Amino acid sequence: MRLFQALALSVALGAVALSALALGAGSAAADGPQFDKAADLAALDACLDANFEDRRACIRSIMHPCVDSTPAPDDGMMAWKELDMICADREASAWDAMLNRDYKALRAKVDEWNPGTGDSLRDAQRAWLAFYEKECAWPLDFLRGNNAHHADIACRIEMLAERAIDLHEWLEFLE
Amino acid sequence: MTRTLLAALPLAALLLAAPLAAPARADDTAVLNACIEEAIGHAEEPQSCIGAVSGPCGEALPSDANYPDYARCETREAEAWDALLNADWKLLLEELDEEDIELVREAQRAWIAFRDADCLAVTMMAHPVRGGLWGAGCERDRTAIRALQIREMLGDRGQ
Repeated sequence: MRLFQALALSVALGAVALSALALGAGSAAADGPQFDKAADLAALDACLDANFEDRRACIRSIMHPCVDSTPAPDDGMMAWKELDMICADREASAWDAMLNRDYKALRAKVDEWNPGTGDSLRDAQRAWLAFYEKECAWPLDFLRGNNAHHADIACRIEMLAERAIDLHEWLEFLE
Repeated sequence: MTRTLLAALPLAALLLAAPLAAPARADDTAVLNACIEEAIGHAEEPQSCIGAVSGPCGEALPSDANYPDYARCETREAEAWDALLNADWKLLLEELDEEDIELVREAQRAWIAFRDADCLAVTMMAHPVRGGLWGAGCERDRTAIRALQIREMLGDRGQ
């Protein structure tokens, strides 16, 4: 019975991607210009390697060049905001991809020498995901400036990046 | 969830640092507050204050001190950050209306659950030798980062 319950739980959890963006943060990237997700992830990896002492320096390293390299829209402020959102979503997607990749690798790694540790990591990641969803729903006008739409994606980028860097550093440490 | 974890992982549960229930020493909280103020005054990151209590505490230990001794220093600092967080938390709630208070409370509850689960995972990853020490360090770091976030949200109204 216990084994059955454990199996059912792991199947259920396995089906739920521990990806944050899978839960619906921003879809603008899917509708906007195409970009190379693998290249963005590789760029983040390179940035983390180059900024060993201050990994946070890599936050927005996809978004800023994305905004700068796109031709200026000629139809006013709305277009600028859309461009910002497309580039912000791209940044969030890249961190999300890193988080998922490193989470899977770390989980496999920790189970190698201490069975059960992978489960505690999974529980931690589920708790992080719940925290992430609640945290980015803080009253935005009080805490995060007036543009709620931008503030929301800013919160998501920040939290995804922080968690991705956490797991990335654990993986580096254990490898 | 906690009950499931404890049932499944009795060893890890025993190794976890004590919950942050003990009262913080007032002088520890004062050390942290002074450090944060000084950091901000010098336009430095207040994150540099993490370790301001556990560092000297560890240095004062005898040379034959072991991991649990060092873990107690980490836990002592975690308790001081927790006290600072709780004091700022009350100030923050005063700034918010009822609807916002509910949102913020939910986020804070989720943060507590995350900290506990994450630090249990860290304890497990470092099991058996350094589990308690790393778990205590995790609680210190997570609590400090959260306290500094709340402090930043309060801006000049903190303390």
